[in-house]
Amino acid sequence: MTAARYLLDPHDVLIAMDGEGSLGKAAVALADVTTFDSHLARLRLTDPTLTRALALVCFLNSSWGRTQTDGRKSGSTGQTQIAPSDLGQIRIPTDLLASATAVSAKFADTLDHYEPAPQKARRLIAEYSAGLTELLISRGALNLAESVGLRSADELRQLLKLVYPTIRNS
Amino acid sequence: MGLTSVVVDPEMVGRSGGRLDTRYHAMHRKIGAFTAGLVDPVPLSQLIRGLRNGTNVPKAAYDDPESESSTIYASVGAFSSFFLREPATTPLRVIDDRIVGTSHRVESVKTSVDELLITRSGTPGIAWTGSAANEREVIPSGFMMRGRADSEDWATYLTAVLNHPVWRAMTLGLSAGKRQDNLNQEQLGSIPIPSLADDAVTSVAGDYRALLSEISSAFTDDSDFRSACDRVLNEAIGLPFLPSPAARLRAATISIRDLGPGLRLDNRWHGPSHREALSHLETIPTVELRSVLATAISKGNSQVGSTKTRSTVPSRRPQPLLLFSPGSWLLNSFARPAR
Repeated sequence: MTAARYLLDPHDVLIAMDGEGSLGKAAVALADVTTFDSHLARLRLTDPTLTRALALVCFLNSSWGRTQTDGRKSGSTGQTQIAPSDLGQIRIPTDLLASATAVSAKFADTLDHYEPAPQKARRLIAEYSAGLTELLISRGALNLAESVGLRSADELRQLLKLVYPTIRNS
Repeated sequence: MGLTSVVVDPEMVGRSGGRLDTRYHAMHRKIGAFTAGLVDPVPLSQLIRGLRNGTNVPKAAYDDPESESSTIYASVGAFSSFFLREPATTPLRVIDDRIVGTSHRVESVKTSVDELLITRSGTPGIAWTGSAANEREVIPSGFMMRGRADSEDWATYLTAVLNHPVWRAMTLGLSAGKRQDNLNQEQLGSIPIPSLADDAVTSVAGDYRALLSEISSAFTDDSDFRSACDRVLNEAIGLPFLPSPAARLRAATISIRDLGPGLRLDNRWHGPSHREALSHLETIPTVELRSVLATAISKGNSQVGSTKTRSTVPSRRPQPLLLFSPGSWLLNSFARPAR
């Protein structure tokens, strides 16, 4: 077995092939940085441009893509998977390929501004808690020197990253 | 910076109740100066009464996940984002106010508006208040702790304090376990709560209810990543939003002509959602995914990078891969070759 067989090229698309809730999620590799494990499949495109890869990933992650991967998966609950042959039969609108530039531009913009709900919840908790800290100080329930820190929402978000030590915080 | 060493001295051991685990001390180091500034705090045990674990309910009592039962069973996962995520709860079968398969009456185990709930296992320390329940009766699982405060406002105030990141770090530090973190009633009862007058408690509670509403709305269907992609496709190429199927069940007729090696008989393939998507895709020009691929679809291998690999190229370990997070779509921003 050679590692070369499992290396990624820039703009390869990776897709989760098993895992309840994860199956069908897709991402784009931007550099040949790593290999990929057996829970993922690599899609190497005939048109290996970032534009085409992003458009395809957008479709695979949409309701249209996820419904098709869900519909083609097999196995019992908790151990579902999709076979490469079934994945290959997913239907892609030709408009997606013809308008890949427009789709990828909008998709990239969406990614730049997208905040997953759990992260938003933690941000809101941190902002609220910074206000609560100030109220406690103003009511004499907390005597906090400036040097202590943990007063601003940003500092509290950083603290939450210790409480939830996951890559999702990045 | 992570904790690099723990210097054990008798005074510290006495102060921490004999705790020697690094996380306890790491968290204490982070928040110790903050909590030392609390003026006459009150232990939580003095502000709630009847602290106990939630109720264990057997699977026999679980109703269909799509059931609209007015009684739902909620465990740690349902509170992980500070509000009650009803899709993460389990509807319960109830007959004559009794939970099926148990001797529990709903009336005696449901949450009340003046109640404080805290996760005690898995992700311990997340608080929620029964006053935030909607119309359904909430039965907290045995992985939750529960106790009653003096009023709805006090229960909400305690919830707000316990979910403050400093207090979350405190409960995380207090929790311990070999495989799964646990928080016990004694540890929870010892948590210091800031002393506030009733008018301030009411003010905090009101603001916290508004916060919960805002967090809840962040989890609505149209804010998830799938919906975000749907919007992109709709705006860029006019692909319509995939309608929800009218029914959860459908009869699928298999023609004798369909019989063959490729025939699918599984419920997912014939499910209403999948058929709805395929029906629409049949009305527009499409190609198969494999037609845009230069090579066959290739699954990875977890053994690549192991010391047993006999490779002529530098081996690289598979990296943990997160598919969705701001910035993480740039794979090279989080996946690095092994050194």
